[in-house]
Amino acid sequence: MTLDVDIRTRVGSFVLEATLSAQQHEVLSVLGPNGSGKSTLLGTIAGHLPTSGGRIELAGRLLEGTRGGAHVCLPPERRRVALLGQRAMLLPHLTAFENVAFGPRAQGVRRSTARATAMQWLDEVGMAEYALRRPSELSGGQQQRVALARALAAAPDALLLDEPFTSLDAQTASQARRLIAEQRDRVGVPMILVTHDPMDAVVLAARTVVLREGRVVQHGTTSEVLGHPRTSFVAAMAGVNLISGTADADGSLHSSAGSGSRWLGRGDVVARGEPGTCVFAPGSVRVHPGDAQYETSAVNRWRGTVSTVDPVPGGVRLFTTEHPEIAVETPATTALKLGIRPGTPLAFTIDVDDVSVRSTQ
Amino acid sequence: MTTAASHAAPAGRARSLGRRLPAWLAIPAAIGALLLVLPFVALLTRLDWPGVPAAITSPEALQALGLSLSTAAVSTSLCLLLGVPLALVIARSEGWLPAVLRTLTTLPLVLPPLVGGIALLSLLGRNGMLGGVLSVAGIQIPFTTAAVVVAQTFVALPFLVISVEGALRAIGTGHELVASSLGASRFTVFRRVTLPLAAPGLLAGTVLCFARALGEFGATALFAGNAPGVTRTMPLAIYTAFNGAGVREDTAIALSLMLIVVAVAVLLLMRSWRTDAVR
Repeated sequence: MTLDVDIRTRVGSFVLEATLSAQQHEVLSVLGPNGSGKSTLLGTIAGHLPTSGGRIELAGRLLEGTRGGAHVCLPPERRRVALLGQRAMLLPHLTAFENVAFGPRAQGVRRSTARATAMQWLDEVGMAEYALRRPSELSGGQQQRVALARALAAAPDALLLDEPFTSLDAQTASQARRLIAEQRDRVGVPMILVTHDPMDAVVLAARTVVLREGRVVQHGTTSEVLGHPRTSFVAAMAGVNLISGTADADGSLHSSAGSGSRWLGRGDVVARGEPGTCVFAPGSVRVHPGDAQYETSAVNRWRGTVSTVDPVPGGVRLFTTEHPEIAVETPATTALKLGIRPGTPLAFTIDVDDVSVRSTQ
Repeated sequence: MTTAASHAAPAGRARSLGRRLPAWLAIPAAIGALLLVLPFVALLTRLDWPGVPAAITSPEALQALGLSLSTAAVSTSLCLLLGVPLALVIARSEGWLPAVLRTLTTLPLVLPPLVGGIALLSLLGRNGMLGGVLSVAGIQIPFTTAAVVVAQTFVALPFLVISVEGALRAIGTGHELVASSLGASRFTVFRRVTLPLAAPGLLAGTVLCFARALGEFGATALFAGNAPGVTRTMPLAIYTAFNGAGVREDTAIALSLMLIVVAVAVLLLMRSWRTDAVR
């Protein structure tokens, strides 16, 4: 059971062009800023938006595309693609149980069979005791669990998740993530997960796709995409610094951002004159007093005057006037010792081993 | 998102808002309320109570009431049959069509019903656009009970369409999209999702529609006439009694009382249904 998507969708002046796939027992996460085409992607796969070309195949069936000269475009109800969105969207006039039984009943399954299926799925998501409650009598997390049971009870060949944890509190969200992970391993339907939270990708998805302005700009294992993002959006999401530059003869990257900087790290070898990026965590940067003596043009070293300081768990995050592109995090003890506040001059260093380099050629 | 909280909130807000309003607003508000209520109080005081039983059980009165109730029931059913699909088209299609349809639907609401009567005569009258064709086929609509139904449907349909369309737009398409992704065909979605979700609006629309049909006078008078037992509905009977040769104003007032009682009963019935629907 595989979901293969290779589509082109036009909504007004916006065009989405994407090629991606999700395998059985796999969650593919899709990251991207607002307006990058994530919802358009899901709407197209579900059959709510018409494509202007391309192909969608699911479990050997053609959902959309041309076969033997004929254009195929299955309506949503014949795609076997279930949706789970930010809001549970349970039918308010039905009980939790009736909501879960809705899919099988709508597909013509016999009443007794549909009832058994519904009860089994409610049990699966731990909601059996709430079977006879109306959605308005359930909490947001409980509604979302019932919605997951309803989606899976319809026996879909693929499941589309559109930021399903966003409206839940942290604890409920992590329970819901665990539930999705269980179903990924048990049922194995391919899932596509659109999310704003890198945590979702880390916990659930082995592979991640990044969309920007309707195009796939990065595609790889989640650890690669989050560990070495190519877009500032994902870098900010993953909480890492992303610096673009051009390689010098010695293999170091020279960046003209801010007051200019040079970087050496591990990873790809970038040939002289070629573009590359380097990525490092704000917490890997070491902070020294501003009067520390070293050559400022040296690799992996820079100086700056603190512009803003914000508290983060266990310490502070600071930016400098000279390098607004680099976030630095340092433990509270260091911050106190160095007397860090806006206007403090500081020097920074980072280990070669803490910088990851990729060629962007 | 608990039921208790969402039910309690509006009432609490209304109370606190009431306290914060400028005091002088109470004067126009009171005058407005009196304007709506006083005429009915006056009507009750002018009523010749001992004569009421005779007036409302007279064969003419019962005949008019029976005709009113049955024609209003038929035209309300027609409105449901035609109005729900029209509301769906307006609420769910895109582009210029819904805007045009919505304006056209509102037209009978803002026009005097007399104009509607003339328009219906122009269409279905003996020399009308369709009337000529129909009379060749041996069908004559004006000045029959069918004309009463047509006139009532004409004036009442906008009430149904507007409230159902409002309800459909308020519920949005989210639930419908989810239902179709679960494998529900368009008809199943309509029957099991759209209709139940729109039920409160549908009910309110039906009641308004029925009340409007019951009270219809102008278009009926012009298009259907005032024949006892055939087209003389309650409003026409009241008008006839009021302007009649014998100046039987008392009968007119008694009949008005009857219509008020029916209207209030319908509204109360709707309230009890609606509280049921919310639960």
